[in-house]
Amino acid sequence: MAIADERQLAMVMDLNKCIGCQTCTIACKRLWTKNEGMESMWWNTVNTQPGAGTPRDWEDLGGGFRDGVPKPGRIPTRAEFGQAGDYNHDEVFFGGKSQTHLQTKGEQREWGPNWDEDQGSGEFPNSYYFYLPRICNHCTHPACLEACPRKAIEKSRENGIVTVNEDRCRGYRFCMEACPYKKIYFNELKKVAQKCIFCFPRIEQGVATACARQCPGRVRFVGYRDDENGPIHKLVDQWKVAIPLHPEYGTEPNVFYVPPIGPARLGEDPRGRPIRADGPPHRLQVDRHVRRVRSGSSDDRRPVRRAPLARSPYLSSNCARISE
Amino acid sequence: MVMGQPGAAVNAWYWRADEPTAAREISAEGLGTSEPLPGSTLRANGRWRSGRWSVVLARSLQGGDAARAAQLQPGLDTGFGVAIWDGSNQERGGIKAFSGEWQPLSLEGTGRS
Ligand code: SF4
Ligand code: SF4
Repeated sequence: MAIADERQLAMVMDLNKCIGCQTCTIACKRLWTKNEGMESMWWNTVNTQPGAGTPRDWEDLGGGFRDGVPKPGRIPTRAEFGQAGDYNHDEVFFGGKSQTHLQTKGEQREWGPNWDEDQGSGEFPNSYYFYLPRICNHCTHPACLEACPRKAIEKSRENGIVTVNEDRCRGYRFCMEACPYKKIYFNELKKVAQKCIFCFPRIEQGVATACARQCPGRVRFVGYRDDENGPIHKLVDQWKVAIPLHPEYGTEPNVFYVPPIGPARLGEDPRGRPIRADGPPHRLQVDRHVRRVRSGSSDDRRPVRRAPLARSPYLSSNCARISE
Repeated sequence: MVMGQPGAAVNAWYWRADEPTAAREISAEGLGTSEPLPGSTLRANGRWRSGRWSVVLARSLQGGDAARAAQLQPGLDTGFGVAIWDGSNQERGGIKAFSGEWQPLSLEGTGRS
């Protein structure tokens, strides 16, 4: 439990409510990363799962800790981040031609931050996917902070927000190697590392982050972890329905997720129409990402509220990238 | 040869290939403490020719903040070292090739009294 002068802000995202609209992504972009040198930055990303995520296959890039020991990581390449494209806006909007459509200029691109959107997995009628929004986790044990030889990364005692002090940063990018969530970006113009700041200037005014406020799905809850009347404590600690993403990375992330309940698995009747299938009732397949999420504990004081989630298919599903 | 220690600053003249005419003079009192030196008169120019860089770094012998900038004087011995970062090999910060021992540096001539 945090002590009085050391508090931690946290976020819970209910993945059942995310519609993949990217409003959060754009809210963040417009507010914080619209300047030159920040073109390829997406402090907030929303990726379709199963999928490669962004930067591409970030879960294979190392970083974080294993059993308390730092795990080597590498800096994602520009191609893995997916560089910003240059579009023919002028031609489409002001060109006076009716048959043009929006496309990138120059070389054909092969990857972008949301390249595999809505592809998902599985065969019709049992195809499936869900959306996974991600920001910096403002970790309790931030690997980025520990990796910086210049002590340029700071974690606030008042709210736990992790920020880069750009006056101290010399652009070494050891933080980018060390962050296992690959949520730090490099500004090529200012030659400094930049990342999600949990909208701290808004927080100081008592306003939630832009990604949370703008979300049409009302996916995101923001609050202090130790506020027993707040949503974070209830969802994470009391009802135990929200869990961290890859806790085995050892950084103690402070973004938590309510895992998605998968749609029912369908079979076909003799005329090829979908019907309820025999066998497991849910679609999400068990694959290499599977880990069981917390299925409840004996000290459960709210069995009624937890029961539907405890029975739900996500418990042994692909979504268990969100894992314990 | 480390980056100085508290109370015993090292003074570094720093040049990088992506900005060949920019000179950076810094001082440090230990690892991770380097700061740009205010009032530096260091100038630089580099030229890429036949597969190699030629670089000149120049400043007056007595420079800037006397406590943090090396004060050079004819007839007075001091030490220097060289460090090189190959950026394409991901070298930055403490990952670098460096000259190890301090090398003696003495400027010919007599010191001003
Ligand atoms: S998610 Fe990465 S950048 Fe954010 S605090 Fe954790 S280690 Fe640092
Ligand atoms: S704004 Fe909300 S619903 Fe839309 S993608 Fe972001 S988290 Fe999902």
